[in-house]
Amino acid sequence: MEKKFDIKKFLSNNAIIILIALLALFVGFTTKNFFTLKNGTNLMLNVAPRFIIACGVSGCLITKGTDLSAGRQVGLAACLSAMLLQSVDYAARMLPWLPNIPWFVALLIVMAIMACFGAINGCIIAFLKVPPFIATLGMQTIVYGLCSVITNNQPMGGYKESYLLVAKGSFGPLPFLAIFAIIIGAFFWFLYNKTRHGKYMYAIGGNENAAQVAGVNVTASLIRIYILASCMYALGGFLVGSKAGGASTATGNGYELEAIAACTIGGVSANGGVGKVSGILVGVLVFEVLKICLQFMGVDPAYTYIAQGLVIIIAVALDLRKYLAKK
Amino acid sequence: MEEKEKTPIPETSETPDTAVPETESARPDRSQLNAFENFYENFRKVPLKYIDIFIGVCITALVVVILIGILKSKGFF
Repeated sequence: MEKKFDIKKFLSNNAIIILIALLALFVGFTTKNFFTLKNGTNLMLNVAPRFIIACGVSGCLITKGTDLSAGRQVGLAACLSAMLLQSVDYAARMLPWLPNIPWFVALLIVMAIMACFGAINGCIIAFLKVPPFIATLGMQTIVYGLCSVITNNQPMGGYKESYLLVAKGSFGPLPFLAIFAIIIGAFFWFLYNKTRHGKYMYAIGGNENAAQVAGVNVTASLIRIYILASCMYALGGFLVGSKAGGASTATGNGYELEAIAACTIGGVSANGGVGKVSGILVGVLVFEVLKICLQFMGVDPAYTYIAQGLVIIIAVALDLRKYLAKK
Repeated sequence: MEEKEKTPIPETSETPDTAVPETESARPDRSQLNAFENFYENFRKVPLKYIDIFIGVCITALVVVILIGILKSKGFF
């Protein structure tokens, strides 16, 4: 029995991807320097941290949750990284007493701190049964407040060269940021497809009660998912800070919505139980390609936000269509 | 440890509760749904044709916004 290729279904399932691909082709053939190595590298640098953040959010979405604190956690991670990795001879150093520490030690410290926020999120959602939307919204504000307190609302800079090299360096044509993203992508693919944790996650997203009855430790799984998500925000924030060469309380603002939108575009259903790592990558790519295309076309920046908002609405409408078609 | 994980199995008293609405009506128990599902359930009776039209309108709006953005940056209005 050969399955017939349904072009209508294909078009409706991939409408945004096709639309953005057509837009990219149009921009590529009508403007200079679009299909260049430099633009490709720039795209990779933009996609890498966002993909890592989206991978973190995807676990929450697959289990019918969400994480609105993602962006602020990224900002806090960037600020913590900045505090730990300012150059020792920098005059305006936030922690002048701090010894010179390697960047990977700083990364581990930041991940450990952020994991605590993830654990709190997970515990509130799993034990207290608070809707993830509310729990993470509260955490978003708390994290922002904490970030403002520890930084005194001062932007930070003066990073050590080794930290800046994390974003600036490359292995051949491949920037280090892209290597980070590839490693995280491979890790998440393995986690989602080859481990018990992944199976539990999809089971919880499909039907939480059925998963519980089948012996899945839903509480522990949810806490693990939110901890892992926060670790990814920590890594994302660390990379964003390195890429920007500075950090402030505004860093990471709005990243949660971009990540959720990218996941939705990539087929991670907001209704849970569905989602692939490859889809998340496609979703992030679509969003970033759209931004670059609009820049190349010289679209007024205010209109860029309207276009991004419309893409999010289309993504949700497509997800709704899939949900209704299944019923 | 394995046994600890499996302790919820006997607590199957919840199953009939969740199954009741399925038998009573075709509509799922909305208290069991998450925010998105609840939102999506509002459109349960909306024909797919209208959703397709809405998506088409949004895509058209996206194209129009991009065109206006280009024209605005070029000083046409």
